[in-house]
Amino acid sequence: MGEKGAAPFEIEALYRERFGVFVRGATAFLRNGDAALEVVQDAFALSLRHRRRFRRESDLEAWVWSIVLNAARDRLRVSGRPSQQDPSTSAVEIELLHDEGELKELLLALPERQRLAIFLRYYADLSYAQIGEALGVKPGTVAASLNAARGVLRQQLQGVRT
Amino acid sequence: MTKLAAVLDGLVTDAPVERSSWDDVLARARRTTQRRVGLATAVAALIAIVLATPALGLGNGLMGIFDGTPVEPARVPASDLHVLSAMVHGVSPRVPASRQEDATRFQAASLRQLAVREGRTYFAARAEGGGTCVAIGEVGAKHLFGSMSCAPDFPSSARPLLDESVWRGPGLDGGKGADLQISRLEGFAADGVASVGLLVADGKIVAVTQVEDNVYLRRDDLPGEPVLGIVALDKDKRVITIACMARGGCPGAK
Repeated sequence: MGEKGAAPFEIEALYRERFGVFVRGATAFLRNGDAALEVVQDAFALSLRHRRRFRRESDLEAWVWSIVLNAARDRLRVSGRPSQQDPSTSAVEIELLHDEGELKELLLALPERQRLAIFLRYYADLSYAQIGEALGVKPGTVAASLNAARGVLRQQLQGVRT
Repeated sequence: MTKLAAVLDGLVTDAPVERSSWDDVLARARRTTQRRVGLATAVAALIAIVLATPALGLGNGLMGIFDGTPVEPARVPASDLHVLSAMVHGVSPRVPASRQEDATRFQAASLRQLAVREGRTYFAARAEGGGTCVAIGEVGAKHLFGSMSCAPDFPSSARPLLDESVWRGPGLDGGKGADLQISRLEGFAADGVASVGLLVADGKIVAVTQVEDNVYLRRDDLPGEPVLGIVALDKDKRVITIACMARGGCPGAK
């Protein structure tokens, strides 16, 4: 049995250092910045409330990510589907659609685990072990998910180039 | 995979990365706590609160303790760290403890600096088993903590103040309680206490002092007459509670 519990200052330090990373990852998943902000704020509040459940042999950031992702999934369940983009970003989106629209659609159509593995790897730069903790799977499963996702996307990239 | 990077970057163009607010997180954590308290024990707790403090309902032990700035262990001299660790653990500082034990207890206590006021620094820490330990120190002193005390029921509706005032007079050594005079009004107040005053003869409240960051301090314009009690006031200047120190009880505040 490992030691349990995270100190509030540790959670606060994580928040102050990595807020941008959390909110970017949540935005990618929810497709809505305001909703992502709500989820991240609520998730850190929850992590404070439940900090004694954290096991110190685990990774604190991965543990908080698991709370963020659960909160995000709950939000998606309530709303039924990812929210529409903020109109202020639509211009950027349109530009992307011309060049990388198909790739984007393909990325967003990936199974949730593959998509989240890519998001956590890209936005948060988490290790496979951390991603595994955040998603509740083994590191080997993370590697397999990322390989599968990259395989699908690589095919699409080749298609874009030709 | 630069195209993939471009797509991933494009997904988060509206991410509100500049809108971080730890205070908002703390407020949400408190709301969550209050909602949880509201389930099983709400009725009993509400009755107790209403009976004890008709002026307002105070939250539970979370309030105040998460505010302030975390104090890193490296900032705390070893002797102070040991004393605080012992007190939050509920044992005498004379009881020896290993550095690891002290460090573990210190970490669990999540010591926070609440305020610096007129050259004095105010700290609060979570006591094991509930309640709060508070400490006050002089800025620049060798020791971080000049005084320290713990209360298992602070902050709560039953005890919204943890007073650390300095008193003088025969009342301290068993004389007439009504002869207590105050040299420095100082202490810690729960969320919801907006100001603190002194109850004197005829039920008058004088030297009303604002509470900021859960701390109150007044050195000047203190009454020369005996003080009967300390009064906690809400934002509308209504009396929350009176900590009576006069023998035979205190008159109602006017």
